[in-house]
Amino acid sequence: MEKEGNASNIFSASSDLNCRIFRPNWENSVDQNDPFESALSSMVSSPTASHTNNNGENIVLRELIGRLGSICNSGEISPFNNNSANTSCYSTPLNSPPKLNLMRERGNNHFLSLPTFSADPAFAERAARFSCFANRNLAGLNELPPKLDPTKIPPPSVQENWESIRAPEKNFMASRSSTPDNAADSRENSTVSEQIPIPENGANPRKRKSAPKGKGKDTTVTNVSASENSESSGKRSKSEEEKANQKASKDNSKLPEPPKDYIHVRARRGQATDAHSLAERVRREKISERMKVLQDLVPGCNKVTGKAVMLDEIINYVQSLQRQVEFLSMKLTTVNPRMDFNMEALMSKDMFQSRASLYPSDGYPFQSPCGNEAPFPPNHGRTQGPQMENFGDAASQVSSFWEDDLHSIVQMGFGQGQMQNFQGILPTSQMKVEL
Amino acid sequence: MSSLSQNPKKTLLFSAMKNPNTLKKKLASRFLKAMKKLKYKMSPSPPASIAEKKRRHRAVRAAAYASMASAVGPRRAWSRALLRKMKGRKRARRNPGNMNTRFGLNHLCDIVPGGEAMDSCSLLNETAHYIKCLVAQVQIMREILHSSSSSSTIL
Repeated sequence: MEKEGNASNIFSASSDLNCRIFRPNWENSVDQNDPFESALSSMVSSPTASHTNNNGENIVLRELIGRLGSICNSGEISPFNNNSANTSCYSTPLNSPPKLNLMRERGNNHFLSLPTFSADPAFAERAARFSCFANRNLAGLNELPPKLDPTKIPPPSVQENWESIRAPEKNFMASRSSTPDNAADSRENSTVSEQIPIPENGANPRKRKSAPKGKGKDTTVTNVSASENSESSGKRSKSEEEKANQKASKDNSKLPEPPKDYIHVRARRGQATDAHSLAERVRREKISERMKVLQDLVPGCNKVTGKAVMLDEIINYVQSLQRQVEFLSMKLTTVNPRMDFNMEALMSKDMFQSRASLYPSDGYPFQSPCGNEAPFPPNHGRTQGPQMENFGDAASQVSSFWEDDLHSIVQMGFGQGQMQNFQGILPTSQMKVEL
Repeated sequence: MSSLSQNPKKTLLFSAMKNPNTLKKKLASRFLKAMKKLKYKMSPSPPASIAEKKRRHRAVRAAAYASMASAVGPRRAWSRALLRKMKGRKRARRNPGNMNTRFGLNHLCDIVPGGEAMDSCSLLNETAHYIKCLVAQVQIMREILHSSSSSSTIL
């Protein structure tokens, strides 16, 4: 039977999707859904897609729902925060169609199991695929002409409600897959009759109906399934929902970036969703975050926009800081080490005073300060390469230097005379600084 | 910052960055110790010879960088690179194919110690921390100068 073959294909595809799910919760849910899949396959194989036999289909569907419910109730996935919203969503569509009161009972029973269902996004995908079958059946059941084009009605509401619903639950990843469905339900005041099977889904008539996703979900689910058919992303991207919204509503507002951890990336409208570009996008956003941090550190970078200019500013700033270190170290050569004993006391006092005010003024206009010393090391120039090398040389020299001085006489006495001699020099060099 | 709760890496960055006071204290103590160790040779009490001045200058600068690196410890890539430079010339140039990802960060990796063997994201991290430490170090050196000059003028 071709349908069974198609069913098995879809099962394998969905199991592939399951395999790519990283979170351990999902692994649990995968195990839970395997009996579900086996049940589905049995279900698919046994009844044919004969739409005339309504009663038979009802029974089939009820059995499906029962099985789904049993599987879900055994699940351990944490429920939604807005469980109450779900229950309210579900009651409205199921109230309306008289013929679907059978479904309603089952559906009501599974309100609480909804979160467990909807927490599994791969399950949502599968449900989407299989729901097209249900749509057809429902059309047959209700025997109502298609009043409205389902692709046009719910999606705007989906968009609004999605945003309103997902606002309180930003951190709950799984909610994203089901929020469009919930949103659709909440707006489904109209009957199920509006959910006409979309011709584009006619390719996959599947004899499967997911109960918690009630009838109200069908339109959005079909939208999702239609978009799913077109997309193939290995990662667990939520772009499918974005695409559904894309296709449906023209006034699509860009949803804000949800909190991203390593796995879950939301694709924006019009952006590629394959694995490579997703990874690149994550990287780019990390880099831009770091750039923001740097922007706060470097003074005067608020007006600057663009990475290149920012990077130049940062480089200049670091270079100027390094030059300041050089200059100050040169000045500190004149400082008496003996004075350091006093300096420690002074330091503890000074440190807690805010000396930051010294900084921004001196930062940038701090040009090469050592005009008075002619044979100053020539690599006190712009490029930092030679400077680092010089530093390396200095390091080796310093190590030998220190060893020598360990054996030499302590230079503590050098203070007094030196300070007097250098008092002349220090003010002049300081005057240079204040330029 | 609202992103703090969401991005664990960023919180790590902020928590790893020290409170400025503690950082300054550490830097100051280390730098002063290093300065004390720098015992200038007796011969010119003011170092008249230019070579002596050069030597001292280099010594102080090395002491500054060394104290900065050791105060930060091996937690940061740049401090590790600096310490490596101080001890031996073990150039850890493990370059995991960074050149193609480095749009525009070429100069930055020359400036920040140990910048070549890092990818862009961590390079920016290191730069931020390096800037913080440099700022603190310069402040300390300035304060030393000011206190010494003020005490000398009193004389």
